[in-house]
Amino acid sequence: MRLEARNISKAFGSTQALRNVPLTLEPGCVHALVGENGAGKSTLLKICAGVEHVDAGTILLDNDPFRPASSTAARERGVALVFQELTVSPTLTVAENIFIDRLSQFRGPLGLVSARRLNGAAGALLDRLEIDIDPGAMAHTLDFGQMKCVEICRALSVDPSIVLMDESTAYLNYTEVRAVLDAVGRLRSEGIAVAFVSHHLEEVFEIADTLTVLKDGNFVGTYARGDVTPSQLHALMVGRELKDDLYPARRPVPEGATPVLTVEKARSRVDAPAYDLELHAGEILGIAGLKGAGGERLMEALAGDRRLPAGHVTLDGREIQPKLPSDAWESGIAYLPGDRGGQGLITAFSVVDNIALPVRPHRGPFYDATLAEELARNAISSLNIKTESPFVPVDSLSGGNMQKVLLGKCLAAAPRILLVNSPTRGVDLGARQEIYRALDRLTADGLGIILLSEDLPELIGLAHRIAVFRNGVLETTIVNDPPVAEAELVARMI
Amino acid sequence: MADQGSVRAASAAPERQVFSAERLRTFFPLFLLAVLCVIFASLSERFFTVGNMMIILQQSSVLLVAALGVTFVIIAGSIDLSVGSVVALAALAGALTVDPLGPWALLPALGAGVVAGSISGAVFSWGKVPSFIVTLGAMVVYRGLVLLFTKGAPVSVFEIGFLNLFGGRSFGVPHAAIISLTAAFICHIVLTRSVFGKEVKAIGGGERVAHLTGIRVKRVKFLIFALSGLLCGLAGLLQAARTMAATAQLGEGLELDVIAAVVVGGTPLTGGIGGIGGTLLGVLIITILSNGMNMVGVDPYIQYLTKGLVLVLAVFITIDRKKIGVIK
Ligand SMILES: Nc1ncnc2c1ncn2[C@@H]1O[C@H](COP(=O)(O)OP(=O)(O)OP(=O)(O)O)[C@@H](O)[C@H]1O
Ligand SMILES: [Mg+2]
Repeated sequence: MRLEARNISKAFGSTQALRNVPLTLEPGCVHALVGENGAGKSTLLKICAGVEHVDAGTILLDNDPFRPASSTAARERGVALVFQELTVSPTLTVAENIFIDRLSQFRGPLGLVSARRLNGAAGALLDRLEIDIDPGAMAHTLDFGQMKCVEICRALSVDPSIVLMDESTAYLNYTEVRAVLDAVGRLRSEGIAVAFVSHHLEEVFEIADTLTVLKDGNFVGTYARGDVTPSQLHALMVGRELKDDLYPARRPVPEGATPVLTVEKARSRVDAPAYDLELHAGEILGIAGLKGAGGERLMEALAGDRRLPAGHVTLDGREIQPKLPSDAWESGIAYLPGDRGGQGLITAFSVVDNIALPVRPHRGPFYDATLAEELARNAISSLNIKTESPFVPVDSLSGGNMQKVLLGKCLAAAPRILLVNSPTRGVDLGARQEIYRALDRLTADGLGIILLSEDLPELIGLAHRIAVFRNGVLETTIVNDPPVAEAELVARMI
Repeated sequence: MADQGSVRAASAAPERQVFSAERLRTFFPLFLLAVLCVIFASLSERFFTVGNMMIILQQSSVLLVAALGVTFVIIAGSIDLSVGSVVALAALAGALTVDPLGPWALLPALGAGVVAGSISGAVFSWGKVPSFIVTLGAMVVYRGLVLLFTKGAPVSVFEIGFLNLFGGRSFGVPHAAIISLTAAFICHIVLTRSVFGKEVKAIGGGERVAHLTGIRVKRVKFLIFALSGLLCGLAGLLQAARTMAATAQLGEGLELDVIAAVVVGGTPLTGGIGGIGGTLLGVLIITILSNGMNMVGVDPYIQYLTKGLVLVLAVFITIDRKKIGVIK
């Protein structure tokens, strides 16, 4: 089936999210939508999928007018959307999540849902994508990447002829991204029309046949893949060429300095071998590894959110034992968690309140709102956060700017050490470059940074050394100079 | 093209409505209060008199003081069902000690409140039992304690200094009104201006975020319940002075009026947002509803019905569904 949207316009209050935007999805074609945070990509897909309704414009499905009242109505006509946000219900099984809106199809004679038939159908879908998840498993046992795969299966479960994927790869690790891209390729060969949103231009150039660029709700153009280069595409998205490299030049770490942080005889599990690790001032230490390999555990332990079965941590020569996150913050360790909405920011709070939260400035018993505002204004100017004012709720900001607020919040506490988990998930290229620049400036000021990321180019582009974890063990520490090859890193991880 | 124009017009209309709904939400409690006053004033000339206003302030004082603590609890995303029983326990502690201590009976009363609240808070925070269950249990246990001590018979309070301090009037203004409004003012300052207040809101807005940001969530939650207990102690003093006795039934059902007042005042049960000003309005709405209906002579059965409907209506109008997302 072919979907053609013409002159789509949509406003939210005073924000014009889309202005006269066209989009055509051809069968057997992967069409990428690119643009900065807030460009209107999600809104356009949501409109095609019946989740939002147009203010003006028409959509044709095989030349018939298509005006779905709801996402269910759109799915019945063969248009399925994989949402940008996670929509998996943790208390249901994988199979129940996949068929959440059609469980009645699996009713037996008594009207009860047959788990056997349900799991069978879910298993078939998972096999189609070659994903190794037990359909009977509870969804809360899955990680982000597996949850995303469940959502893709949910979209495919209606046998759609048009699949819209909104940043489906943003939460995935290296192997999972491969799996999703392969799955997209398979959908294309089955003659399905796919729309694909991603901030990672490598993925876009690998998988897309055509590209549509949006900028601030305006249509910039539609191009065949061969007709634009990545840097031209970037210029179209941002309005200027990507100056310099995405990654700043690595600064040298002062020679022979004593480490700020040492971890000795640490174990991820009681039965895992012990390891040592150290971090110097002005250094970015990368942590690589698959999920559950031990890197995330170490970071959470340093942040005081969990405890390792064994290990000593010293900071500036003093032994510390962060039992709670508050202990970690007090000893000068700031933590930027990987889940911006659920762990990093209070979305209903204003920018100021979020940034001042770790410090909670006070004069006597009174909260010092003036100092809080000063902290926020400093962060806004030094990190170039785009916001109407420091007093608007953070959830009115775009993804990239929310991420900068989160970084600003960590820096407001003037830490000795910064723990950063996946700082650029779902963040557009421009904001990513700014976040990298900020991290670089911080190392120049003598901050030690531990960076955990599933984005291997990011790790290779930023880290001085990379600690690779595998099966709970510190496999090796690679000095990333000259930069290690991505394939070599992957080989050490699996 | 005509088609497009009509689509635009149709979509513009709900937008304007959303805007006015926003305003309606913020001002609805005030609006409701005004409407009630106008209705009752037109039905009874005795309603809008200085005398009756003082009576309303006096009547609302116990509810207000108890609701102040619960406002903190609810903003932090928890619930306190034990206020009625803690008020009764505190009133009893005051009544039993008033003869030797006189006005200083306030110390045992406040102490009983703090201890009772702290126990709930400790079990909730460190024992990790949901606040609904902890305070449901506490409600029954403390009521049982009161019955055990009183054997069902009221403990009278005759000590004149005590009655004067908590139940008397100066220049026609009930002391209970002065005390409760002062408490409300202090709580307002604490909630809006102190670090503790910020931490309470942060916990309600996102407990996991608050924890990872270095807020000692358990300690704050404990303190919130201790504070709620303290305010229940104060409410118990006011109640004991007003009825000149501590009875086994004192404060029964108060928890429901308290929660209703907080919620009608615009503090949602989901936590994170809300304030003392709203609670003050909510308390006045509930008190005036009873006072006015009594004065006009509404059938008590109809009174129940009306109160329930007003509660649901107020929440229906004031709840900000966009901010809350999931309605449980
Ligand atoms: N429900 C909403 N209410 C108000 N404004 C909205 C809503 N949804 C989107 N917007 C605004 O519309 C604009 C486009 O948002 P959209 O989510 O489509 O961007 P996007 O291109 O998907 O960005 P990202 O890369 O960050 O996901 C933004 O300015 C956003 O703030
Ligand atoms: Mg989006």
